[in-house]
Amino acid sequence: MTDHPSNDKDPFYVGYLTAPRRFAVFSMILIPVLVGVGILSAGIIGSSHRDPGTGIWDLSQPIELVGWADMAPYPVLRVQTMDDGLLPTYETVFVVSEGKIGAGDRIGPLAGREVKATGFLIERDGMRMLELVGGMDAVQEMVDVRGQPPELPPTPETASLGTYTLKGQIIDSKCYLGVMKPGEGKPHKSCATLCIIGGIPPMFMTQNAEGERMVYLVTDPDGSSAVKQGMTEYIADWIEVTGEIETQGDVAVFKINRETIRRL
Amino acid sequence: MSHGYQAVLWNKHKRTYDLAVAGGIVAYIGTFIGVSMATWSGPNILSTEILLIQAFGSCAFIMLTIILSIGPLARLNSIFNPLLYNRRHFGVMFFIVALAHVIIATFWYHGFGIVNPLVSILSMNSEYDRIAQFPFESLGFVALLILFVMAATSHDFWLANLKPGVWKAMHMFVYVAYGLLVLHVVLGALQAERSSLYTWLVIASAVWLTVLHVLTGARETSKDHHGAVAARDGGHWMAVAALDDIPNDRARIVPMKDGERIAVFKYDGKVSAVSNVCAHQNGPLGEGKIVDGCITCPWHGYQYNPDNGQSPPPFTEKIPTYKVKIEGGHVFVDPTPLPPGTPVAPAIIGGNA
Repeated sequence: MTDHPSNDKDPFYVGYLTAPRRFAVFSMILIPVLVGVGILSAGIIGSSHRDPGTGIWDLSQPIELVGWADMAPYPVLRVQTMDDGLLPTYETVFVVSEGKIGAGDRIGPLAGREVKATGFLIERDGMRMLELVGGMDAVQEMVDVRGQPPELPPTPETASLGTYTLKGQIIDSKCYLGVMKPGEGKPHKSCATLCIIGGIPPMFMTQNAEGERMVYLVTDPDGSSAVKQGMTEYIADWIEVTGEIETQGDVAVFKINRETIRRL
Repeated sequence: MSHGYQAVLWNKHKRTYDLAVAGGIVAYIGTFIGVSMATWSGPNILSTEILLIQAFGSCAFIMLTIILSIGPLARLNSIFNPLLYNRRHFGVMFFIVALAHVIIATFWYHGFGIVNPLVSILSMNSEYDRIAQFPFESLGFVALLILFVMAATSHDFWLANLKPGVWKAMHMFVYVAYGLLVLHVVLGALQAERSSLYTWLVIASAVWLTVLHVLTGARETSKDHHGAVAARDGGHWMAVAALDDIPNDRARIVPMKDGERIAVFKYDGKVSAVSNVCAHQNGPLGEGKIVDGCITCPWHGYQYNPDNGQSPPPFTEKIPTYKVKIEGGHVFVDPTPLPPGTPVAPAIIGGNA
């Protein structure tokens, strides 16, 4: 097609002709304005996130932890932190598999044994979790490594702190502790549910008036897994729930009564 | 035009248009990630995947708002026609951005578990009977299916084979997709953000599009009403306009009682009447212009000979034509449409009727 200089007298725009001046000038203003509005929107939305917390998921290199395998009721390692001739103390490190799958198949059979586990470290607010790597070899019984009989496993001291009604959210510990940031709230509800039914330990996140967060491991009142109907549908919702709070060694456990769950 | 199907009939405008849209997308994603990382950095940095999900998702929503604004804006003022000309590419790029959002979100939020990710999208949150807990992912999923059908049928091959009426009706489902996406954002991302500005942006989008479409609809109705008064019934022939009221190389649009519109063009000392509906995408031919002796559609530049409604060879589009005559300085049209492409002798200005 040909250019039409006279087009400027009766401006008419078609893409394959030279644009009349009026259209060209307007477009040269409009396009940067639209892009500017887009960039402004990006700034507004990009700055509106909530604090995702200080969790880390260190994929730089796997670490090895030696500890006592336990199901309490979720897979953990009790890792000795001090032995200076006095009574040893133990840190509870939660253990999960890669993806949204628990580590019960690898920790469960070795419960009560001393093991060496290999995986990536996940950590937030002093709580540690190990994401196993390397298939079934990720957890090896120490007796196989050292050729020595196992010692007796540690038994965490328990103490009841009473019954409380707390407001908060059931979260999956793996995402919350650092794999997903943020790993809570409505957009994360399906993911958290998928994680928890896959075996990732559920936790209850609450905060006090000052905004300080507390996180509890969630179990049924009898200490068994709370991953049952009556709980899973409330994952990632803001709820109020009643239960006994108990310390088991260095872990705070919220033994929830599923019948008391109420959405806020 | 449709003398054969190519992936894209490129020209300078389309390249500039696509570059501007692609540049806008890159600027948006870059700004979003940059501002997010400046807001929460160090140990509090957000997951890259989640940033990308949010950046692509919000970018797609803003793109769709702009795309849906272009049509009514162009109806209100032809100055916006340059945005309309290549809107289809804008639409396809929007779909690609939306697809990137969906793919990353599906893998990240629904992958790596004990349930198939596609099953997880629809079933992992099953609170379909509660508003606040409603599984917003399913709304986005249905919207994506609609948008996929639209993107897949965006090419002129489908336009020609489905016929413009069916194609346009099908593509009107974009408004259903938009409604679903508003709910997807309101019941999803908005429930986790701290700033109300994000909420206001979504409200502004919905209000802007609603007002714009209502305004445009009111204006179209008003134009039809005004035109109907002008179209006095003169028996078999209808007086549609005073000859002097039609600008040279332009048309007067005349609405008929049955809802059809006729475009009456004055050009080169002659007057011809054709259907107002372009055979390509139902564009308003009467808002077009005579270019190189042809009626030229203002939307995508499709052309027709005014005296037979046929696109010049090798193009093959045809539109209905109407008999026309001039008497006493007035143009009269026989409102019975002739089959598309029927030659009709133009009325000669100053000649014998």
